[in-house]
Amino acid sequence: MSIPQIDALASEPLDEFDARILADLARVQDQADPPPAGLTDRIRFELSLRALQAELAELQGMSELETVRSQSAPEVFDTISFTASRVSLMITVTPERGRDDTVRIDAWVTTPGVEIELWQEGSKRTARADEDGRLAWDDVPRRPTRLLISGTPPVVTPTIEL
Amino acid sequence: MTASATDTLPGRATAAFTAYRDGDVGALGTLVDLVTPVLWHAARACGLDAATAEDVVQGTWVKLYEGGDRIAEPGAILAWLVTTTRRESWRVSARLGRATPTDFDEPVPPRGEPLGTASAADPEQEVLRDDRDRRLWDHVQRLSPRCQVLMRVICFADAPNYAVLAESLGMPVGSIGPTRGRCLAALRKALLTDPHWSLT
Repeated sequence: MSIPQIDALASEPLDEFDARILADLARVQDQADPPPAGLTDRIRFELSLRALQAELAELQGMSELETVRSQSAPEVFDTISFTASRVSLMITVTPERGRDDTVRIDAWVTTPGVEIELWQEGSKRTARADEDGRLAWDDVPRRPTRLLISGTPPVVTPTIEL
Repeated sequence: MTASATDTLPGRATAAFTAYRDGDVGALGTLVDLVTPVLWHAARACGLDAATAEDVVQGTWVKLYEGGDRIAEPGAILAWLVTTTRRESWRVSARLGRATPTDFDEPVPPRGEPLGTASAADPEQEVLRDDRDRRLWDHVQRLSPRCQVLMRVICFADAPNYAVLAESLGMPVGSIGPTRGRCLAALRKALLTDPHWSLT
């Protein structure tokens, strides 16, 4: 069988063989190089932040607090502070007793009564600050997290690794 | 501008974009879900690593969000998204030193990626399938960058309506459809002359 020349092949009409090759290629690409998990979630979130015209809070500081709860082991907390033009937020991340895959987040915000959304890929949890500006979430998976403080404009934190 | 059937990729993209412009905010999310895979493959076909490709794809959607009312023809939305992604991908790729204009038409050395392992259900068939798939993938990646992008993007069109996607890649009319064109001809020849590849 003679090896077909590209010019000759190029000028022929498309046929079923071509359609099969291209259908195979679509499938192979999806297997060999699929879009990363969560890509569309991240894009949708970015667009919704723009729709809200949210202000991005600035990371102000991070520290570890050590506290002796009993005469046995001390517990280590991670605290993170954020600031924006009209509001500041501090959160404390505490491992949950007996578990290593979830944490409790305690938050203090300078605006009493404000609603804050805890955003992780695929989930949103809303809590409202009390009159002292305190609120909390428990049973939070250790995943990349952002907090969205409602208001005009809303304020969103950078991504936090729990 | 020919009308697209509503169940083709361009048709569904146009329907979602039209709904979004008519005030259905959720339709933008639908459009994102529908078209992001094609944009991802376009960016990757231009040689971008995963993180950079993700940034470029997200950037395309942000550009749409911020300038969407300037797209005159909703029927052109798929082409606009792919063109925007392709242009930015080449721009970034050139800046990162991964592609120069002279590379665009030259065949590239293979950089195959591993496919999933064969399933237990039908091992021989699955292995055979994987070997065929590996060879197809290998041959595609040896095409010139221009042909790679074309093949890797138009394969997501509904056969035989490849022209819309081909045009959105900036390819000259005749690159594909109604005739095969040189890129698909090169791929076909590579497959036909590979003694270990067969159609079934």
